[in-house]
Amino acid sequence: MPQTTKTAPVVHIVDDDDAVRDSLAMLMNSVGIDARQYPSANAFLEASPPDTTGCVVLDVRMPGLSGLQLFKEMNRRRMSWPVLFITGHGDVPMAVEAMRDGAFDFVQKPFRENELLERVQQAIAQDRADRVQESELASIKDRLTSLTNRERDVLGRIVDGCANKVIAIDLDISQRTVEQHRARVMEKMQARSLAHLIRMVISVDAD
Amino acid sequence: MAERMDTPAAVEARFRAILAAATDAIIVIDLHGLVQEFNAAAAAMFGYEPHEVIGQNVSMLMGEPYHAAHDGYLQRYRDTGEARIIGIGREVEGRRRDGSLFPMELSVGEIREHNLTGFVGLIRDISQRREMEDVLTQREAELQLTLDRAPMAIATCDLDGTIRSANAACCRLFEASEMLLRNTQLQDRLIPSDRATHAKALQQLAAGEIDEHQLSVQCLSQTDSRLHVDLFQALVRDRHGEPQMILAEFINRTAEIEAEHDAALHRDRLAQVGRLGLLGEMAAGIAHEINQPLTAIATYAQAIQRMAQREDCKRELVIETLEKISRQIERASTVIGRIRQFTRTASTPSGTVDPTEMLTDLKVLAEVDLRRHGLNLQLDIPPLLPTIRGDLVQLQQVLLNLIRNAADAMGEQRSGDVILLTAQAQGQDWLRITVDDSGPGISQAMAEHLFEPFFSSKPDGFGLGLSICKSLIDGHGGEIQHGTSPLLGGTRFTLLLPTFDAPNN
Repeated sequence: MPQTTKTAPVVHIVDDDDAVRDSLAMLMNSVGIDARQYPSANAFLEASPPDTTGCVVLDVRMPGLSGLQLFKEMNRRRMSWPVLFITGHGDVPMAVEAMRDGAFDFVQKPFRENELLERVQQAIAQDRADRVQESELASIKDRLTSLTNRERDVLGRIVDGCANKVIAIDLDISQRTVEQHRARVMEKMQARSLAHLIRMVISVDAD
Repeated sequence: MAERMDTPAAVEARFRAILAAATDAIIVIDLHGLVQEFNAAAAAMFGYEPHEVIGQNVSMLMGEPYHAAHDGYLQRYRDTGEARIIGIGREVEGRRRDGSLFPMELSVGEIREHNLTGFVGLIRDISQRREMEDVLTQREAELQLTLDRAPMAIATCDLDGTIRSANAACCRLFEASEMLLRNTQLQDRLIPSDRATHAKALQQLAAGEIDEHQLSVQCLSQTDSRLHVDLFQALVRDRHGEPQMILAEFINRTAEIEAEHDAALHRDRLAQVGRLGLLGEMAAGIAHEINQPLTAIATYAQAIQRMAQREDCKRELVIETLEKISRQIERASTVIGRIRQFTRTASTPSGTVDPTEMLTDLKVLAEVDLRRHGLNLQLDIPPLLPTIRGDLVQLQQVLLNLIRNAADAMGEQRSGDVILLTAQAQGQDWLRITVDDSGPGISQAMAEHLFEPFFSSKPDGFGLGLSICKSLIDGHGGEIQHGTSPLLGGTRFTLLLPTFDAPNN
C-alpha cells in the first residue's frame, strides 16, 4: 500500500493586502496550520515552495499578475495544490471562471464565521487524498514497468477482453504459455481480481 | 489847462468824443421826445443813420406798448415830476429800422441847464444775454428731462450724504417718490454691513481726497426688496475747486447677480449629482476598499478568539491583535471619510486650494478605482506649485472623471499600464494640470460633441461627466482642453486654472 504523507500541511497565502494576508495567516496558526505569506503572484512563483501537502489561498485581484493569471501559471507548471480563491463581491464572474479551470472553491470577503477555515481544511484533505491517489498511481506505474514486453502484450489483450485462446493465436504462442504469462501479470501487478487489474490499467491510461 | 477845457468848444468836443466812443447807444431827446443826439452805437443798434432819427420822435425806436405810450410818459413827467424810469433803468423793448424788436436795458437821465431841457438815454442791447439765458433755461430743462429719461439711477447728495435730488430711474430703483428720497441719508438705504465701507468713501470724497469711488453694495428699497447695485460716486467741485456735492449713480445688478447665483446653485447641484453618479460607478471599488479592512478585522477577531481559548495564549498577542484590528477600523473609516467629503454639498469656488495636497488626496481616491482596472496612476509634480482659487472637491471631481475616462479608454486588458497626472505653473497666472492615457484617442467625430451633455462613447455612460467637468471648470474661470498625449500616445486632457495671485476675472 502507498504510504500516506503525514508531514504537516502548509497553507500558502497570496494576497497583496498586508492586513488581510497577515490576519489569514494568524487564523491558520490559531488552528495549528502553518501558513506562508506571499505579497504577490511573482513572490509566490519566485519562492517556488516545496511540493508538500497543503493548499493555496489566492486573492483574485492583485496588481501585476492577478490571482487568476497565477492560477493558470500554476496549472502550466503542474503545481497541484488545491487553490481556494478569495474574492470581493464584484469578482464573482472571475471566480466562476476560476472554478471552470479547476479551482477548488471560492470564498467571498468578508468571510462568514468558520467558512474559510472549513474550506481550507477541506482543501488540505483533498490535497492529501490526491497525494495518496497519486502515490498509488506512481506505484501502479512502477509495477507496469516491471512487466516484460511479452507480459505487457498479454496484459493489453486481457484488458481488451480477449480470451486466452485468442491471445495464444495472436501472439503465436501456446495457450499454456499465455496462462503462465497471465499469472505472472496478476502477481506482479498485485491484482486482486481481473476487474482490479483492468481498473489499475485504466487509471494509468487516464493520467 | 482846466480853464481851457471848460470852454464851450472843449465841452462840446469832449461830449462828441464820449458819444462816439461809447459802446452803449446814447440818445438825447428834448422835453417832447424829439431826438437831439443819436450816437454811432445807437445807429448800429437800431439800423438808422443819425440824420434819419434826429428831429424825430424817439418813440419810433420803441416796441409796443412804449411806442404809443411814450408821449404820455413825458407829459406826465412834465406835469407831475413823477419819474418812473429816471435813475432806475429797466428792461424794455426796442425797435430796429427793419421793424424787428429786441430786448434792451435802458437808463435815463435828466438834462438840466437852469430848467429841465431834455433827457439822455443809455441803451444796451441785451438780446445776446437774453438768448444765453434762454439757452441756459432750455439746457436746464433738457438736462432735467434727460436725467428723468435716463435709464441709470442718479441722485445728487450733499457732502454728508443727504440726498438732494433723485431722477426718475432712481425713484423706480428704490420704489420711492423723489420727495420720500429727498433729505434722507443715502447710507440708510444700504444694508447695515455695507454702511461702514460707504461711510469711509463718503468721508474721503467730502474731504476732496478722492474724486470718485466705486462700490458694490446691497440696498433695500422702500418696500424692503434687496437690491444688488454698483454705486459710483463722483465729487462735484465748485469753480474754486472746493467740494460742493456728490453725484451718485446706481447700476442695478440684482437680476444679474441673482441669475449668477441661480446658475452657481444649479451648477453645484449638477456637480453633486455628478459626484454621486461617479461614486455609483466607483461603488465596486469603494466596496473593495472597505471590504479589505473589514475582512482583516473579522479574520483577526476570529483568530484571536480561538487563540485566547488556549491556555498558553500570551497577553501580548491579544493586545497586538487588538491593535491590528484598531488600525483596520481606522483604515475603513478613512475611506468612508474621504467619500463623505467627496459628496458634501457646500462649495466655495473662491476658496484657496493647495494643488499638491489636492492631487495627492485625489491619487488615493482614484486608485480605489484603478486597482480594479489593474492600472497605475503616476503623479508627477514639482515640489512647489502655486496656490489656486477654487473648490477642492469640485476640482477633484473633474480630475477623477478624467482619470476614470482614461482608465475606460485603456480597457481592462493592459494590466500594469500607467495613467499620468502632472501639474505645473504656467506663467504667473495659471496652473496647468494634465491627464495622459495610452488609449486609442478621441476621434474627430467624438471631439465635436465631447463636452455636450448626454453624449457618451461608453455603452453604459450617461454622458454627463465631461459636460459637468466643463461647467465646473468654467465656474472656476479656467479652461479644459483635449489633444493627443505626446508621452503616452493616447488622449491628453489639460486643465488651466487661475492661480490665487492671478488678477480676478
